[in-house]
Amino acid sequence: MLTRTQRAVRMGAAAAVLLLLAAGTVWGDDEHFPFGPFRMYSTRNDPNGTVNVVKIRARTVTGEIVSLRPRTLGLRPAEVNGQITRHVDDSVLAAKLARAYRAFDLEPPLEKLWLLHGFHQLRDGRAVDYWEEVRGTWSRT
Amino acid sequence: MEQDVAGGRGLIARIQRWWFAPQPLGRVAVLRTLVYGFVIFDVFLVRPWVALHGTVPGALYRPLAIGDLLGLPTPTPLLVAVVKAALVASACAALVSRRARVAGVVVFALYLEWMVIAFSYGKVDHDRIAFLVALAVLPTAGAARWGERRATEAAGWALRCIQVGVVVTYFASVFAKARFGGLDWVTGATFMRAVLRRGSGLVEPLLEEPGLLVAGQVLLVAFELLSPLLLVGGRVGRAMVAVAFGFHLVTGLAIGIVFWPHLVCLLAFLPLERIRPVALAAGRRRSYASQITGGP
Repeated sequence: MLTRTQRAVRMGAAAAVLLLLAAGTVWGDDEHFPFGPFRMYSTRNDPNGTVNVVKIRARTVTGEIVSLRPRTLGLRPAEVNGQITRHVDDSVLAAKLARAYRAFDLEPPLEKLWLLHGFHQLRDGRAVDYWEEVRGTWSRT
Repeated sequence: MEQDVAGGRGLIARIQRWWFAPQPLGRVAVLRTLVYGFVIFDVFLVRPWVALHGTVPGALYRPLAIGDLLGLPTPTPLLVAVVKAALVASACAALVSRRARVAGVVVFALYLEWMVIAFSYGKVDHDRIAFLVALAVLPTAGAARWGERRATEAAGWALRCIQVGVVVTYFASVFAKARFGGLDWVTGATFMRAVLRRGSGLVEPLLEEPGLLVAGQVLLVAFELLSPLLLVGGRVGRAMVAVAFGFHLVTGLAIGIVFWPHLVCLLAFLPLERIRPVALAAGRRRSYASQITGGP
């Protein structure tokens, strides 16, 4: 049997955590982890809008064009998406990604790196078209 | 006075009875094994990428509010290696301890830091709250061993907290959808985005069936709104637990996202105290002995 104090401490802790979670749900964002809102897949895509996919492509010193998976740079795909919203200039992010490539000692060295957005055009919820745009570029100087 | 609170009729007494309803220590013991075992499994197999964040350039580090508040340092290869080793060592200590008090508190603190290292690079996962709650409350439940049927209030409170953490994860996500996606989230194309970005071969045919994906969105929100029924127990509670496991199975097969730590906590709704490996082994030995001696 718990004492009155032990109960009070436990109830206080439970209430504090629930209040913080409620506050995070109403006002918080991901940066307030672990009390931020549970926003997995919470944004809405317009059934007649676009779905975008971020891609990293590079040209090596041997002239080969390669697609780089975020994981090879120590990042998850969603982390690259998250970094985009934090960078006003995608070329700055492209340069940082090139630095990550070097930090992991990946071979062969890169000459150029492009950050691309692929767009799936939706019509009535169905994907009907796809195109890509270059959003940021880094070149070896 | 204690008796008064526990036996009273007021709202507070009723709330307390619900939070402190005694539950078997055997369930706490099994959960401790699963939770501390999962920490090791998580570090090496589920999220091995966390360790890579030490090598990612510090320029890509954007600390969470808690990292700023506690003045946590920017991850480096050395820092990540030290935290990783200490986390695994303390999880091993908690696994072999019957009380898991000191080791459990250390695991909680280090795992929280591990999460800060994980989530400070542009993406936060939302499958952690029940697991962090479990790490925080399991050290408070006292000594426990597998198969122990004795029920205590301390075990009851700890298990209730984990269960509430699971329910909050589902229920509060409805409000996040309303806040970030709008009230018309259910009629949008969010599931289509998920399938386009990460869909497995199994769900490729759904690219041609947006109506089914919208129906899936409606069902998801319905399940999340009904998730407090997980707490009522009985047939309804068991059915909800089955639906929850089914939902995570489908999500894993469809888009490769599995809420592993959350699933460990979902097990807190099951009568884990019935797992008695010692009795099972003894029973097996007895039946083997009776076979070779031809006894009854």
